[in-house]
Amino acid sequence: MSKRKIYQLRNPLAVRGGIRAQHTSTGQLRVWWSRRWVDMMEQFRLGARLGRGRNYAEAGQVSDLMIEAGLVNATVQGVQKEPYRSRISFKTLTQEGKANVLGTLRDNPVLIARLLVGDLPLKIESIILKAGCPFFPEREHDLKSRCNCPDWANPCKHLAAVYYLLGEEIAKNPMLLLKIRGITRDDIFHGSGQSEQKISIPCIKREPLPSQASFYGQAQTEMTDFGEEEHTGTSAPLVHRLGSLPFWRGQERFIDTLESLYDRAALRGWKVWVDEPLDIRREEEKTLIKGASLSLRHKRMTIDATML
Amino acid sequence: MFFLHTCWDENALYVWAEQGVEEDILLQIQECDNVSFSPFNVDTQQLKVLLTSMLWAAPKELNAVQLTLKLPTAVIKGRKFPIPSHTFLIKSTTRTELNHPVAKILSPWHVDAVKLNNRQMIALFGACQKRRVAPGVFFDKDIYSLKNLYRLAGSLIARGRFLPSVRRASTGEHYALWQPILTLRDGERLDQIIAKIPGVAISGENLAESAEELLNIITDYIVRVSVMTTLSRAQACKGKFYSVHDAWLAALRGESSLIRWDSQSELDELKNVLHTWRRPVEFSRESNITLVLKLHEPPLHDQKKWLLEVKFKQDQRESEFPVGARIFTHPEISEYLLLSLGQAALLFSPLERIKRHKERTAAALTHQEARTFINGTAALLRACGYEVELPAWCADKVIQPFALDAEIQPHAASEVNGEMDLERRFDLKWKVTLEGESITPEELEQLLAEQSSLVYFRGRWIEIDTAQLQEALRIWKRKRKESHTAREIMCLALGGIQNPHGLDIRALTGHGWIDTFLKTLKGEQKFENLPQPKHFHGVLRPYQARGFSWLVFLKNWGLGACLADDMGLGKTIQTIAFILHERSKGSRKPILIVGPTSILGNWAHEIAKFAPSLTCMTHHGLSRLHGEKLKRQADQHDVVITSYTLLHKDYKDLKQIKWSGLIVDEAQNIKNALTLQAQAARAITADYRIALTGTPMENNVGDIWSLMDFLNPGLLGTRKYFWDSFFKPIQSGADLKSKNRLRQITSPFILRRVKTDQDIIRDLPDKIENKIYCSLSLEQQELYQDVTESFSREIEEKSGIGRRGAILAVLTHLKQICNHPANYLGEREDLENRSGKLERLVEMLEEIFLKGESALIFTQYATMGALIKEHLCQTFAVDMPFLYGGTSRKNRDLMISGFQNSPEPNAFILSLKAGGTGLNLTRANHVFHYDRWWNPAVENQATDRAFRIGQKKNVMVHKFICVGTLEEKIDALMSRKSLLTDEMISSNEQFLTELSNQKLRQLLQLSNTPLQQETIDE
Repeated sequence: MSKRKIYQLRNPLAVRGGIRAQHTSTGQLRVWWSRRWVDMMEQFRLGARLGRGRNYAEAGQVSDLMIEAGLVNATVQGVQKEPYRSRISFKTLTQEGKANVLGTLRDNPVLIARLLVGDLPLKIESIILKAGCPFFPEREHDLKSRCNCPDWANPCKHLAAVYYLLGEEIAKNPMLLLKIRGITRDDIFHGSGQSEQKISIPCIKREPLPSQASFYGQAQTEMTDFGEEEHTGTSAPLVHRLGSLPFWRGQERFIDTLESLYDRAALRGWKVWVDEPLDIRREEEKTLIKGASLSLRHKRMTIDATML
Repeated sequence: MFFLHTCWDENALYVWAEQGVEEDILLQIQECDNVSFSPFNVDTQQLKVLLTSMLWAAPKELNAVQLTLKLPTAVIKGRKFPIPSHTFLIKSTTRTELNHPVAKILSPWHVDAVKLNNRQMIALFGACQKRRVAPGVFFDKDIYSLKNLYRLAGSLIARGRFLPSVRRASTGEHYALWQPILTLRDGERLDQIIAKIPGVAISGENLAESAEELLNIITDYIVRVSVMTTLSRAQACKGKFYSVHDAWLAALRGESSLIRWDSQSELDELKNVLHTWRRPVEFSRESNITLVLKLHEPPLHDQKKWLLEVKFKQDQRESEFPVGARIFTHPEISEYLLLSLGQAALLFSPLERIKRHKERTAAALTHQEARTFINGTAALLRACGYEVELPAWCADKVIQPFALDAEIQPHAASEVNGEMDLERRFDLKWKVTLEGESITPEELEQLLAEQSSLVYFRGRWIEIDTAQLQEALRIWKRKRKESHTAREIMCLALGGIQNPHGLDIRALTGHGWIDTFLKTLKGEQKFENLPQPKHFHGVLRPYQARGFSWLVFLKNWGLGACLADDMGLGKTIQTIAFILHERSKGSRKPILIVGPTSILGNWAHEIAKFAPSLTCMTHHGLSRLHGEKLKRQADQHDVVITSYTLLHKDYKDLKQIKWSGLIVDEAQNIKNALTLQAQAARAITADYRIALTGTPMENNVGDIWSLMDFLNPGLLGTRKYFWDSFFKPIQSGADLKSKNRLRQITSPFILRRVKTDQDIIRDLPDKIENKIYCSLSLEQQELYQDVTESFSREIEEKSGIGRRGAILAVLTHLKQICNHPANYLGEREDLENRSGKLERLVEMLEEIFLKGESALIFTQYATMGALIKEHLCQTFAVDMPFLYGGTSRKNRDLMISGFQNSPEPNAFILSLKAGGTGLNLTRANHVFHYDRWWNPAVENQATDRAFRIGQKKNVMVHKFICVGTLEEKIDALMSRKSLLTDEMISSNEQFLTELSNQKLRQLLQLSNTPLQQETIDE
């Protein structure tokens, strides 16, 4: 039996609760930086190892993935009992470069704003490049990768799995690309030298409730003001504001589906708001109960069942 | 009597109830250390009966539980008993210490309760429309305080202020929920609601938290019920989902909110992702920060440059948007603001261009972008929780600056003096105006050439609708003349229906009768004041003459009218004058008058009194006619009177008669268009329709629609059109414009005068006396006849003192029968639907209370007073003071001060003897004399309790008289001057004993009246 055959037969040891890739390869390509990431992986000429890497990523063989400035550390479960340690290091911005980038970002709040909502403005790449650092990983003069597996090839399938997951994370959160280069969210908001001390936000102090006039209620309990009608052209303004849920994998389109649900809900909401009689019975029940009357202590009591 | 209460405890809503208890039972409570059942408890079985049809649930679906509640408790002589929500739940004949408990503590008591599921909870809130659920069954205030949460949830849902979420239960399962997202303003509303929730409604320490939880549950369920049917069957049945997202979406739409997905980590991940996703809209309420977007219009020197400035507001303080180093000062806020900005940019992409423009952080906008922003995005952003400031001129003018002026011209020159008829055709000649100024076609062309909807016109920026502009041009060029019927023109003039061009109509001018007609209709010109009809017996007050002339005016145009004068101003008299006038014009078809059973007698009586020349028949009772016979009879009469019940029961008989007019009294009876009587009223054909009501209906938009749909079908468009353009905007409380527009359209058809109107007061005496004629119920008639028959036999055998005694006794008995059978029979229960007087009293009090007014009710009989009190309590669920001979001085003073200072309208019941002197009850401006003393001096003295110095309101005196009985006859006798000697007045009923047997018999005998009150089963 040749060594090669043994090698093919052996499956990696299963990992519970590993990070599983979520079949998002198509989803990733929807954003431009994902396409660039895939382009980059193709430059590595991984061949068959790309597929194996993907299988590893999908099977959840990567049990740990740490992203720091200039460094990605991962633990990948292979065929051996002891998991392999994979490590990728990137070139980071110099102190001066970092200061330049942060300065530019802070003067252009929209760039930060877009980053925060999961978008990556094209301009970011040029800002980083101008500060003397690559933005997307490059093979030459940028990244160095290492894995303690016996495979001679670099990147091996373990590293491929890590790249794969990284790509997925980055598509969700493009800020990671900046983090790799040494710029974190905290840098933007707290300044590089500062500690990450949290400044507490002044919260509304709830007034103590007025004492209850009576245990069984005051005279005027009913209110009239429950809101003001807004003409927005959509029944789901908040969903439009927040946008689609990141990495939506449902079969129905997120916003469209929610909007149609909101439409229905709004119709009923209106009835409740203006205090129309509300009937939540199903159609068949309505016909059964219509005109229902009940007797209580020999009195006939009819309850208006004409509510619709 | 039952009061339903709700209690929110540990994530479930419970319903329990209280019932009235005899005082003796309370006194028997033994002292015991263990928790015992509240004596007011309503047991499970009764509770289920009460709830079954209200919640549309079968008794077995109701989950009965035993609840331990901490209730206010009095300790008297070492014994504890709970204090009920309303003190009159303690039924006592003597006032004892129980009514004024000395010590109050909160102590646990058991009650039977029903634990509601979400569905039943929503059904409960949806069902609680009126305080009175059924006779003697009431919702108490706590339900209404929680119902505010339900309506807030409705408002949040209608405005789209909720988001899907995931909640992880302590047991580890994940649930998909719809969660309300409150703005700062909504948060204030919630606080207001919470402040009104009484202790009984929510048990547990943290009221605010519980209330919010309840709001969450209600919101989730209302949305869930609405979207439940959208789940595709395949998904629901197979239960196989391809991702956690599918499972989540299905759980959001399912009966159960449990997410059926195996991977806990994926569910947790989803929960985290959702949390982050929703964070931006939740942060705002927590931190009191709002992002402000302010649109600056271009400065005059540079007409191109619009600026959209970004700022933020914290605790009502505006600050500049943090840029550069300012970001560091409050990093958390900056992060939130930037996140908000990023999201705003997703909705309005020009925001991506934001940068420093001198002192502002702003984005420059093009005309087109500014227009999109003003017309749509601004509202969307507002709904998303951003604050948007637009230039002042955007606030109201933008929508439709183009309007039309029209000149009405005769359709063809030859018809100038044609017949005045709403079906006649006229030509409308249009003229286009912009912002109230007329505009030439050249200017229109110029505006069109600008290719922009934001234009600089005569010195200022205005927004125009290009579609409108083109329409306006088209009207100028081609359709300058259009033919319409006078009825259509009327609708256009009132602004009722959308006109065909989508442009508002500013003015309609014309010549001849159409102009006069429109002006009169709109109240710009007075309608002809007609003289009182010739055969009218009596004198119309000036405002009554106006009302009658107004009815004639609208009737002449075939339009329906609603006379909505205050109670006591004489709607009946005005209507009778109208009918007389109508008859004098030679109309021969009969008029149908419909009203509640209790007032049919009054109509017949008033017509006989004021218009004896009119022939009048009452279609009522068991011996009423049907089919051809009825038709023949009706055709021989001027007026046919019937009840609402018979209107739909005998609908087929009544339908085949050709009516000249249909008059509905107490028109609030037809306001619910779904009821049978309302449908029957709409289906009866008549040349004109008149509605009479004293209940203010103008406050309820839905009622107005029903009324107008009955009077002038089509005036307010279809129900759908009405719902969208009036009901929604007005009922949500925000839109004054629609409210005014609705008033403008409907006011020509509703005439409402109130007692306090200056020009009405002038016409009125300080004290208005009305005699209210009530009919007897079948039971009353039978009793009455029995008593008179036995009296006739008895009287022949007696003389002297014995005769006198027998006469006085029979008078008392007959008067008691007229009051209520129970008054004569000595019963205390089951008072509903047995006495015409009592029914009428309830109807009138309903109207009086609705207007926030109070009343005094006088009766001669203390027992009747007790019955009235009992019945009114059962009907209105308020404790009404009752003063009679046995009332102690202390209680009397308590009652009076309670009544005089009560925030809510109430009625004070007095037995005439006790209430005769030394009382000052000026809070009331209605005085009822439930039975008659036949001594004006005594009655006037009683009336003066309400009519004292300092009384500003006009006092209405209502004297109840049963039709056909001795009450009516003696009243008629007294009204004849010859009999009104001082001696008779002072001797009260004594003079009756002097009459001969023959005369007495005539007086007491029940005269043949076709009126019979229906029993409820009929």
